[in-house]
Amino acid sequence: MHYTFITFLLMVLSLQIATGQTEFRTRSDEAVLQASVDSLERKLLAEGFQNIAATVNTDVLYVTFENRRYRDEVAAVRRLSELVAAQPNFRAYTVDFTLQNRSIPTVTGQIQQEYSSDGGLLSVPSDIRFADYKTWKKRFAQEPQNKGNWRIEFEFEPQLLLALGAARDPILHQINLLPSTNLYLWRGGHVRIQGIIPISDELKNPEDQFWRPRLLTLSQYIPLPRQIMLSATVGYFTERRYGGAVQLSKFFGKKSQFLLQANAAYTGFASFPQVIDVDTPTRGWQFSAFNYFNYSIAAEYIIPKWNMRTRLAYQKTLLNKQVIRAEVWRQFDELQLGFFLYRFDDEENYGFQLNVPLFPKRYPKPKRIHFKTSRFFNYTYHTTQSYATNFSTGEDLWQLYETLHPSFFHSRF
Amino acid sequence: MYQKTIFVLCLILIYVSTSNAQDTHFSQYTSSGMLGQTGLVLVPTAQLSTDRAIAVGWSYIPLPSTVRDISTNIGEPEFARSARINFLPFVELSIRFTKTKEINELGDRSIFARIQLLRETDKRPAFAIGAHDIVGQVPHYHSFYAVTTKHFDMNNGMIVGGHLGYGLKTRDNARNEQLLGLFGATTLRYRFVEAGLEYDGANTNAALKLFWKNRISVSANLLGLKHIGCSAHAYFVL
Repeated sequence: MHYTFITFLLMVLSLQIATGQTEFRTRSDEAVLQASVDSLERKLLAEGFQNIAATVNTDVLYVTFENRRYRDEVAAVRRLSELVAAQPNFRAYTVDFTLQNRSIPTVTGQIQQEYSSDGGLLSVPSDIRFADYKTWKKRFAQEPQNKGNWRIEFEFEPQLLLALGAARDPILHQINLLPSTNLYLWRGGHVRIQGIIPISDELKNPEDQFWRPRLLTLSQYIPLPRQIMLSATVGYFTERRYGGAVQLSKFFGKKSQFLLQANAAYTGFASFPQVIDVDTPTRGWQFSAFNYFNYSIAAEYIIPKWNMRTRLAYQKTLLNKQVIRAEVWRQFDELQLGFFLYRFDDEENYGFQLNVPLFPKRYPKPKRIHFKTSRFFNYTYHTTQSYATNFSTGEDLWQLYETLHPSFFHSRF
Repeated sequence: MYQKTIFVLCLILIYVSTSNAQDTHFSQYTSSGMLGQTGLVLVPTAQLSTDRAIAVGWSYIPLPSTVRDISTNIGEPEFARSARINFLPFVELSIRFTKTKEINELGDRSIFARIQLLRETDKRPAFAIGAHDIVGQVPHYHSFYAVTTKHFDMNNGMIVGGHLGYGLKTRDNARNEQLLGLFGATTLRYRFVEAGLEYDGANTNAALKLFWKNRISVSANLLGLKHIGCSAHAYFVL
């Protein structure tokens, strides 16, 4: 009897010891993993990324960050996968990343780390899609590191305008520098102050000789459920307009390949320098009351096979022109080439637009104040002299997404 | 000026031919015609370059084959600069600036667009439709055409090509006689050399082209089988 009792006691004791040892192993594993997560966050910090947060769950490493270091968002994700691959504890992990812009989650997806036949580590993207704000907020409830709010960014963009001239000088040019000060406020909030500095001018428009403002805007993006994005911008826009504009966008489809967009704006005339009722342009501002309402409705269809966007828009532009505009854009890696055609009244115009990525590929590490060139140099060529001019607020959905649609990610990674 | 240009091009031809002595790689790029489109001399073919390919070029078209002024029936030798892109695997877009003595430095702009409707296979020819100079004030070499192309591999490294097309005039102020009605060409390609003979709807032309490492092609052309023209193109892929 007592042998049975002793045996029973020994069994209970062994069980307790075994349980105790198991608990000890779990706590140690978690500590090691958390140390690896902290190490990864420090590396992302050292890389210059902002709004960094990382968590780990079973075999998945969740990372979110905002890229202000690399010109290309895909390059930033590639760098992330390199940093993760360098962490031995995360070699077998799936990396679930979410990019941000202005603290708003934009594109999310997974990077599967697989071993190739020669033993090397391959990073394979999968399930790339637009991020859901609610899911992202829930997953990354902790305070991010290196917050991107209340930071100033100085950006420099060249502008080139060309016109046909006379036989002696067949191409007339105007080269301007567009310096911008961007202030990133809270989530989705942004102030832009952009000017025009004339560098070289053969077009000789008197008002173009002035250093003058181009954009003075305060904008706010609000992510809504079901892939809806609302944005509002107030301030001074291009083409001598000031006022307010709103944009509502929604993606449809399993792969978000359809986009519907509506824009509306209420503006008045504002100009620096003064050009109305003066013999020559004069330094100073001129304003009129709000007097003009314009709008546009657009539909886009994305073709992932060729990294292409097709767009059809109906818009009321300045001077009361009702315009139908068709565009086709294709991304060749970072370079973007688009062709457009628009028609209004009995006139039409067509041409192409080119967005060429500007040097450098990687900017200096952003601090509280950051200097960089703009991502792209833009050039638009119109074939005829029939223009339907519309102003720009400087804000557009594709700018928020850095022209990266999820379906373009695979081919560019 | 023209003689100097021809002399320089001959030097380029000599350099390309000698530097290709060891080159056995067949050019993946279709050759460019003098108008900037994929083709032989003036005749377009139904081939398109590889997707995302860009070609930039320059050509000199001697007097008899240039576009004549309707009222004076006087033409000028033409210098043209062109740029072409395969915007999609089956869509080719070109822009061409044609300069003569009477036109300013930039030149008259022409836009060419081509769509390949059928790709060539072992059994089937390629088929494409194209529109040359369909917009703009003064059309040069205007045509709205369909063309088909078939190649035959002779199994000794030589490839023979046949190209046949038909062009329509859809602009009243078009001044060209080429590429209207029936046109066609035959080409013979061996490694980095291509020779061809074509009928452009008005004249018979011949061409000899050399390719260098899929990057550059130079062409000596005999327009009307009498007058020497030339062109050079550079290729790259985005």
